[in-house]
Amino acid sequence: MNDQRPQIALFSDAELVSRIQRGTDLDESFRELFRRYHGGVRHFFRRKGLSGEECADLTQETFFRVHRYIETFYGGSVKGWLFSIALNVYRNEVRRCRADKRRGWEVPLPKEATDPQGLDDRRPEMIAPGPQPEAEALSRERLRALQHSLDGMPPQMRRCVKLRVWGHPIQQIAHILGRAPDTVKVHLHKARKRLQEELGQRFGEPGF
Amino acid sequence: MTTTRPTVATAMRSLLEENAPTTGHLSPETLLAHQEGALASAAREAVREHLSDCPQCAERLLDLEAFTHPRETATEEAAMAFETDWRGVQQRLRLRTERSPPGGRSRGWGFWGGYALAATFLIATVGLAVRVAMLEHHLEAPRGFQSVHLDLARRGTAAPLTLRFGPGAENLALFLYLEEGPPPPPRYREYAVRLEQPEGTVVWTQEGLRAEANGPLRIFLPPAAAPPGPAVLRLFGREGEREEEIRSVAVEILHQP
Repeated sequence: MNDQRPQIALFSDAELVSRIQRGTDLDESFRELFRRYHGGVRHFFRRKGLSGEECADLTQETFFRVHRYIETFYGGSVKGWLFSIALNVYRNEVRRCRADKRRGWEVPLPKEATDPQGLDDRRPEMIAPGPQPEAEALSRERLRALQHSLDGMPPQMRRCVKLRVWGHPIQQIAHILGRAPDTVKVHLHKARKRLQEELGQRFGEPGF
Repeated sequence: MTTTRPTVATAMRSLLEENAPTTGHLSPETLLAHQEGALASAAREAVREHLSDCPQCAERLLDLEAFTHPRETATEEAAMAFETDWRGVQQRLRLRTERSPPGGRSRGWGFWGGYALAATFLIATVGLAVRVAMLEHHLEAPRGFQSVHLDLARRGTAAPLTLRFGPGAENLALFLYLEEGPPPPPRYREYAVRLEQPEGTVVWTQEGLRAEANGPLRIFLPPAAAPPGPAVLRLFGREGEREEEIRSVAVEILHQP
């Protein structure tokens, strides 16, 4: 008789959610949704640097919430909705950890551990003063020149440079901008050359 | 004085941090559309620009990438994780069902029953308040009338009831209660009230009175209709042609200047 039943794996995400909302083959439909997104949810938590145990706990919590709030899904992308739930679960976990940390004990380290050379006992005038006015003006002038140089770059090149400066490797930049990694490499190479020519007097190495 | 030149990256980082947006982040739906290449050209460019300025949104896009394209690992470990998590979810759902009242995902009778009880109580309270207000209004005499509430059943053998006209009581409003007993008098379709002098002369009459359900008869007695001195107030019940005296009350009418 099973042959006459619709192949549940052929249903779209939206159809699956609709079946769960109606209570049609509830367990089977929910298990299929779980099967489709379990790996994604787990991978997301792994990417966040959580341990295996934490990943399991948060993955289960995510699908528990999916089941609990599925009636509030009124259309749109199921994938996006599921991702939002996983994101919220993660944020709650971060918040909980911070709260636990705040509730923890604070044990001061012995003075020798934090200040082995006794630098805190220096006289106030020996501590390095803030930036000198001329140094500050120079810094401002450099930043203005840098901004001008950035504004003059083609948009794709500028975005590659910014993302690189934020610390993303080539592969991630390529993914974020939807470009091939080789294209990103070329943009970065040209940008370094250009910045060296335009700002070589003011700055040291490009450093990215 | 020699100063070390900062790298472009260091300077640019502080520049970017200064200008990074703190609000107006991209929604998961927009990021998903960007990832799937479903955005129009202008929107795509705007999203790319935002992503290069906003490290939070860029990070979220990478999260989304991990979510939508997980590394497929068909290992025994992955299968075990799948089964463990599935059992964990089932257990959480079972725990929740045990804790919450019956009704599955929808709110159970306990929840709605509480609301129904509260609503019934509210309606009953408001209804009672309205009823009391109506009753008070009903028993209240019009302005310039003095109210006299008369229990006919108990007045039968008592001393004469004084009806006093005067300042603040230019007219009298008589409320005749029929329900009191024992035994309570029979109910009639219509009532009549007559004020007679001791020798039997009818000085004032009012016909066609109807009692409201469980309410008293209301009679407005003007001073001109009630000459001072002793009198008898008689109440009659009428059913078609038949007329029967129900009660009579001895009264003493006074007119004060």
